[in-house]
Amino acid sequence: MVRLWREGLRAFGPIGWAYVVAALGVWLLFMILVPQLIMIDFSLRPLLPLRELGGPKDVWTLKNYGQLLANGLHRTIFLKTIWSSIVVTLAALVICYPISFHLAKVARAAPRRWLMIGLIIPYWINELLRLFAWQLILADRGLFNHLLMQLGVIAEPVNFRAGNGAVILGMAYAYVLFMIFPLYNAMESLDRHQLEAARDLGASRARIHRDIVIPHAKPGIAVGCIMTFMLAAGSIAAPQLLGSPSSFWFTEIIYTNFETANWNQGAAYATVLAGLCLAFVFLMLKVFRLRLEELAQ
Amino acid sequence: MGQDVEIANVSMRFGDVDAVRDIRVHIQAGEFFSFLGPSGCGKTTLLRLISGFMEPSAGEIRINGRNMRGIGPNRRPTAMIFQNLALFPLMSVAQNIGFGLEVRGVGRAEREKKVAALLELVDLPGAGDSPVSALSGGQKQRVAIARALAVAPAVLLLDEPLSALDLKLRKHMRLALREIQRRTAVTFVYITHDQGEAFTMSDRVGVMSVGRLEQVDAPEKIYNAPRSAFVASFVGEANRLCGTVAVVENSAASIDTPSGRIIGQNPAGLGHGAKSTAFVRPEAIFVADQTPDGANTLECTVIGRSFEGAYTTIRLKTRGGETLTMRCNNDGQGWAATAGGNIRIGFKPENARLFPSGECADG
Amino acid sequence: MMSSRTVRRFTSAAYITLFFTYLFLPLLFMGIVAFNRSSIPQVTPWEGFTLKWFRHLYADDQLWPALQNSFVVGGAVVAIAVPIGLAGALFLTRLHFRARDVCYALLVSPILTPGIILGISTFLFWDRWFHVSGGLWTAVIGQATFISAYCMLLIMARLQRFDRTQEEAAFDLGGTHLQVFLKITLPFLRPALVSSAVLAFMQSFENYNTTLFAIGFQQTLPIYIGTKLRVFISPAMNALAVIFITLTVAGAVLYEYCRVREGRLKFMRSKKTDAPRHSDPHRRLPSGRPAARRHA
Repeated sequence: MVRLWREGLRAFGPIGWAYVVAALGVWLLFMILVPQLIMIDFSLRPLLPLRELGGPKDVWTLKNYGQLLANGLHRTIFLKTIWSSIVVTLAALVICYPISFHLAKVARAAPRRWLMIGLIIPYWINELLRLFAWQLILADRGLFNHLLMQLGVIAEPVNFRAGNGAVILGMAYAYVLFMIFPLYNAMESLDRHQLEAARDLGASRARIHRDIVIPHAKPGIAVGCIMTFMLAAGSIAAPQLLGSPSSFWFTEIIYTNFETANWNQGAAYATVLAGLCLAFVFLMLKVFRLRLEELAQ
Repeated sequence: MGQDVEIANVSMRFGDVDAVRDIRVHIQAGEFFSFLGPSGCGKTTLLRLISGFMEPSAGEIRINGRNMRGIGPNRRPTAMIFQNLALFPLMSVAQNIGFGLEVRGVGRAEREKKVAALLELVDLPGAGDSPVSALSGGQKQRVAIARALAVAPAVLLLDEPLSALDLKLRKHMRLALREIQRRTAVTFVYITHDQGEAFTMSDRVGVMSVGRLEQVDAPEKIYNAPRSAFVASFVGEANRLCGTVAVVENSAASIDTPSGRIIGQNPAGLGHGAKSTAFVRPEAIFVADQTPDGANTLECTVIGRSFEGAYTTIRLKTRGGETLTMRCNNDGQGWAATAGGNIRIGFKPENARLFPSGECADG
Repeated sequence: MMSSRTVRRFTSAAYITLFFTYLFLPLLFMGIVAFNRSSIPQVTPWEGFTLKWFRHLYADDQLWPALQNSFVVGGAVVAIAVPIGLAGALFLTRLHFRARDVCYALLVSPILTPGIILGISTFLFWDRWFHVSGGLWTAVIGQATFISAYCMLLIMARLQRFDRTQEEAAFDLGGTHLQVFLKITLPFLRPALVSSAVLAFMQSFENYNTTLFAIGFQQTLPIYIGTKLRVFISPAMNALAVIFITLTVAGAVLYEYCRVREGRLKFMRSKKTDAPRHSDPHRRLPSGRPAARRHA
């Protein structure tokens, strides 16, 4: 520790080192670590009126966490959220894999640039507005219902927003880019000649993907899945805009808690969400047999 | 004006590797001194120790009598020319040269004057406004030199600055550097693996090998009177003849080799019976029809010859099976040697130097 | 019978077209709605072309404070995130110590943390320790927590390609740490600093999750949009969407144009230093044909 301090002084001079230490200290302590600890602290305390704070009832308890098990509705929503996020992740993976592969290996330089721009432009538009577009498409008087009624398929408008379908669809739309780029980056580094050699030796396309492309792209797939899952599980815009009372999302429970000033419960559920994401990261690392090589971000 | 650099028992250790071991040398003020050695011999480390980018694990470095420990590179009276020159690409030539003055707070007018004078000195008048990227290799060299001289260093450190240049430019730059050094009287400490460079420019040369300083002398002495087997073989070419010491007489000794008895200089003070290798330069060998008194002679078979213009190289095999290389100037001597023919060659004892050897194979 | 290669080409082209249709069609649809006179956002029935929704949008007096707040927050985030990111990049690139990888993981972790958690933790922290309730300040801090990490990554990428001997030379010539940093290192980093500032601003401007929990009763533009969309759908939002889309496309075109222009300039400059050799228009090329007219 002392050695690091001296090395820092030598590398940056006294003023520079003071700046680096101060900036990083503020960031690491006051923005990253301590707030998380405070949140956990809130989550372990019961909700008390102002005058009882600091009093005998203000002790650590797991009651807020216990709610998740006790409250059947919350539990169901939590599990549904996990399940739906997995669906979104898998859907995104399936949709984006061919595109990423095409971009990385098949497309030539010029069309690739245009394709990339075509991918990025929707992403510069606010997530909310993109979800709004689906709000319109799926509304009672929206595009889908209108088309279906015109074609005579249905007589009454269908409520697309019942159930999780709309939310999942909206999320798949919104988070596609976060799956494409990690995949693309990972595939790009694959030597094209390997693929040609495999073809030359008679391997089928499916074989090539299974045995060569996917193993090489594993880090990219893992990163893409992690990002997509975390965005989906932690998303609040999509459920708010595309959801319905029957498709409550876990983040919405947290939001409701904060709206009703039950910060303690909200903090507990937020911590659960954080734990879920962390667990998913470790799961991905395990499944893909990787260590922390998420450097290609 | 140059100052002297005293390197007193300096060692540098990285982990368990000794890059530099117990170096002792006193570089005189105003001298052009070169450290010569193969890659990995520690000369770059030594330069960085003198410049202040590293502190020695042991020993002291004194410039003008003052101990430099704890003084950073920006406060030492040294300036360095880096191997990759390290010119500032986002600045013009004039801004590069004036950088040292700028950080010392020298005013713009005076800076411009000094920069102009330096550009004259390095023979690049008027190039001040060019961007660095527009210069050739040789021109960049000179800008680097001007930039270093701008801060009026007492000691200029040069890290193999000519290695990236082509041969002709290198030869030109050697003379240019020597000229600049003479004119400014700054102490130059130069490191290189090219002995031609070291010999052409330096007042004295220090030969280094695996962290140790083998010999410090004027170039002629290094070449003609090497004091260790390493110097003898690293500098110039050398023939080697292995044997055992038979007779020791003052500063000379004779060894018995499979090819015969050889008398040579004994700078290492070998004793009777010691295993020894005699080093002889190719140009010291002559065809020995008329044997000058006291010269060593050997009967050899010619196994090859190559005419190289100004001289001819002839390869010989001795009776004892050792291979020798002989070099004759283009004066007719070389015609005597025909491939496969027998020939008697000779060399004077002053030109043979005896050093201890481990295995006869590598000396 | 089509060869399998053609079939493959066709399916791949079809897939890509389908994919991009999927990406762009909703946006197109959303844009067209903005011009429909119907008060319910829809494409059909088309009740006539109008710009009235743009006027509605202009007249909405919740929009302008939210927009202003977005700029204020964005500016503050840039002012905080870029210096912090720079410090992080310097720290991780220049110093070597055993815990370096752990530090790196810790500092990058905000990117991997769901935004709402950053917002919540920032909100609770400032309430508990400093008795500052949710508002613009906590939104700035919450956003800066992860945006600094993005800035750090961008700056690190550039810093790692820096030739350190330049700094050594500058030291050797007598510069102090501050002088060397300001005159040598910083100019080199300038492109990365600029791009990280732009990235920081853009990410701050469109951030929703973190801001939602940290901003209390104030509004930035995304919060405003979110509130509006949850409550009552009005084509005024479509008008806003059209504006966004237009600006985005314009921005992308401008960026591409600048890039191509800079590439062309660099090419011309490098050609200029070769120019003397090509000045003779009648010089014969190796193939024996007279040299073609020089391209502009």
